[in-house]
Amino acid sequence: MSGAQTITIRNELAELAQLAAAAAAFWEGHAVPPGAAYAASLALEEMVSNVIRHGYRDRAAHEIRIGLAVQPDALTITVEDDGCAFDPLGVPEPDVGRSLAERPVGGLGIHLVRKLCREMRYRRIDGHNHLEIVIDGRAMAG
Amino acid sequence: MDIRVVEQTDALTHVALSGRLDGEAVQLAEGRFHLATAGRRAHTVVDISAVTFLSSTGMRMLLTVAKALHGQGYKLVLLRPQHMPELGLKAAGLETLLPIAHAYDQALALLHRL
Repeated sequence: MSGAQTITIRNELAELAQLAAAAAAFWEGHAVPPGAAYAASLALEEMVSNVIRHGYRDRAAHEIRIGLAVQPDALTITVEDDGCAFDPLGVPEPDVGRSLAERPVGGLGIHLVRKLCREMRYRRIDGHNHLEIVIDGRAMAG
Repeated sequence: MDIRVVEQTDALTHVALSGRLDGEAVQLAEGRFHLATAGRRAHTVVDISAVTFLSSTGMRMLLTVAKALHGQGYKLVLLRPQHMPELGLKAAGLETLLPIAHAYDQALALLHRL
């Protein structure tokens, strides 16, 4: 089944609940397998909360535009924002072999999304970040 | 996210979390969770069987408490995660730092073996 939806939210953490509910309804409405739906919801939460928490230097209201799409074998999430330029592909991988005492608590979100997704693309266009994440339709099935 | 204290003794803290452990929930409840766990200075079992969604922010909250307990000489074990949150923990590479037990006896054994 194929389909697409666009959701626009404000740059406030409280908006994430509404986004999560809308995304869950969209995956369910398109009969997305539970594992892929969970992986996509996790990627969505990680990337959008990252924009809200770290993307803006001012306290003004901004809009974040999220696209959800279902293809026969994949889910695509796009996130567009006018925050500071940030390419998640440029973030170094954490050293997951470190001990509990040595392991930093930060940097988990982008690492997790990288592990969950099949592809991730980033572009900066006209002062906007455009991030595209493709989740395999069989993600987290095992 | 809801936090329920299941058992508190001098030797053990057992708490149960439920609901979504996402950014918003952690922002609201992280202080209470820290007080109920790392604040008690005891080996800790965190039952996450009723946690339906575990984001990296939720993982960071668990990792922060595990590190604090480790610094005090105590350990933390996660009990009975649902399938998807467990896969998320493994994808994040946290299963060795946040050991997972699927039964309470196994959790107690892990606390004494780790």
